[in-house]
Amino acid sequence: MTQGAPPSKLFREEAKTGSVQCLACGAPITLRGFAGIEQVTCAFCGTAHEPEPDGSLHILQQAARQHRPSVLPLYQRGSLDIGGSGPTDWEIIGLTWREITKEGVSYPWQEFLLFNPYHGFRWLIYSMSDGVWSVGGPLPGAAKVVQNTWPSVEYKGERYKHHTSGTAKTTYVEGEFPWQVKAGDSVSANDYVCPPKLISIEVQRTKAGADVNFTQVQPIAAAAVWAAFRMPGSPPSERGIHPSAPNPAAANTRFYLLAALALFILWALTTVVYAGGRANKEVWKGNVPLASGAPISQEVTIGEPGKLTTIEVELQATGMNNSWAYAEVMLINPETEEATVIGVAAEYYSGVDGGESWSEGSNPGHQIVGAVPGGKYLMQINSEADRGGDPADSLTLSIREDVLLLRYVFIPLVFILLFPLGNFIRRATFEKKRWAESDHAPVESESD
Amino acid sequence: MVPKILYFMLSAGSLGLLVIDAPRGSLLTGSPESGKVERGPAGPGTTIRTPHYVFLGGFHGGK
Repeated sequence: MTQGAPPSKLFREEAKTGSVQCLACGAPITLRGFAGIEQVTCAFCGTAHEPEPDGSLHILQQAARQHRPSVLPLYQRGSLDIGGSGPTDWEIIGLTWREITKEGVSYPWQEFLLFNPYHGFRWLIYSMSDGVWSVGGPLPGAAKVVQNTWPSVEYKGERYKHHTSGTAKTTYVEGEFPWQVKAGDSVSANDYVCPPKLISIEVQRTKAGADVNFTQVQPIAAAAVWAAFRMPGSPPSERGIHPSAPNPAAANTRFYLLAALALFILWALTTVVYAGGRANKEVWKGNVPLASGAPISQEVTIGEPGKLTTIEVELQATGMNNSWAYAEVMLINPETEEATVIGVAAEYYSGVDGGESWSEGSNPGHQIVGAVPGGKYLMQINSEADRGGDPADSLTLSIREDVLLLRYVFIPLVFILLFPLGNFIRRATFEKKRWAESDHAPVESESD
Repeated sequence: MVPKILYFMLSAGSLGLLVIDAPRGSLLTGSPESGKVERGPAGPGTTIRTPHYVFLGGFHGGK
């Protein structure tokens, strides 16, 4: 073995935190990321410097750009729980503005590099186009690309569906970075979602080859970011849905499915018991006079004494057109001389108007009443029929007791299905919004 | 949580309505007119086998 040059140091010496200045504009620069920093960009003029092992700087790229006010300022400190490791203090030591342009529309965002000496680096991302925030860090490993009809990647057994791809261009840089990044840099970015997680795969092609970075982020509420960094006022309003935002309706799907199934079985059993228990018994049926005059009187027994029941009265007029008929059934309690009066009409009108035939009315006519006390009644029927139009040839009236009321059957069914259906629609609407800004947006047909 | 509670309340309530009220139809049916009647006069030359009543309607004293 030959003894070559001494090996370069594995670790750079600790950077000096004394006052250093931008070599281009003279603005003060303080290194906060210690030895891990590869580049520091002047916040004022944008000149990129590389810290030397001895703590001095040398210029990587000189610039003279204007300062852009970011939504969070450089060197702001805040306490955030990232990845469930508990609240941790983070400092924004670097920020970039990047954008993807698609079909002439620019989608810009701001990325804040968070640093903690004991926890390393994390990312906080603010999407300027829709006001949503993400937080996360480097993916510990690599996602496996899955060949499928829908492009996907797999990581730790979870399938992430492709959301968007594009060329992300860096437009603005400020502060310190553990790698070199300059305005104008471009990477190929691909986002895959598995709510609430999102994996971003960025590929940067250099002369040395391709540099692939995997980042995993999750949505975070704007208010939480604002509170964490103790920012004054209110955060910019959120105007869209984060690509990996959890669907609020999805969490309820299982509940509504199970509850609806249980309630539906209960409803079916109850309906069978209710329908099977109805006598639907004919109390009286017969022809009634066409002209008012002497009423029909007869003693009838309805239901059981002491119980309430339902009554359906039906009036059928035969041979009637453009006319009406009416019958009034009076149920009289002979002891109290109290009466219940049920009126029922049958009417039917038809004709031709503007070459189109029409008809309206109902024949036979129905009337259902409830809460009729069971017992013996003196029934008195008065009836009459209109003599205009084509009057009725005869009128038939029938009275049934303990009838099936479908309104009682269908109202529970409506409630049982309404909420699960509403949840399904809410879920589908949310997903539609999620994918509306993706590369897989549903194609909407255009009508002239 | 509130929609879930509301869901159970409305579903259970309407099922309860089906079990309890549907056989007598107190709540979801029309209310027939009710009131007092009095015996009407027999017409000239008619034979009345059963009494003929005239509906007076409405409320005619609670005592």
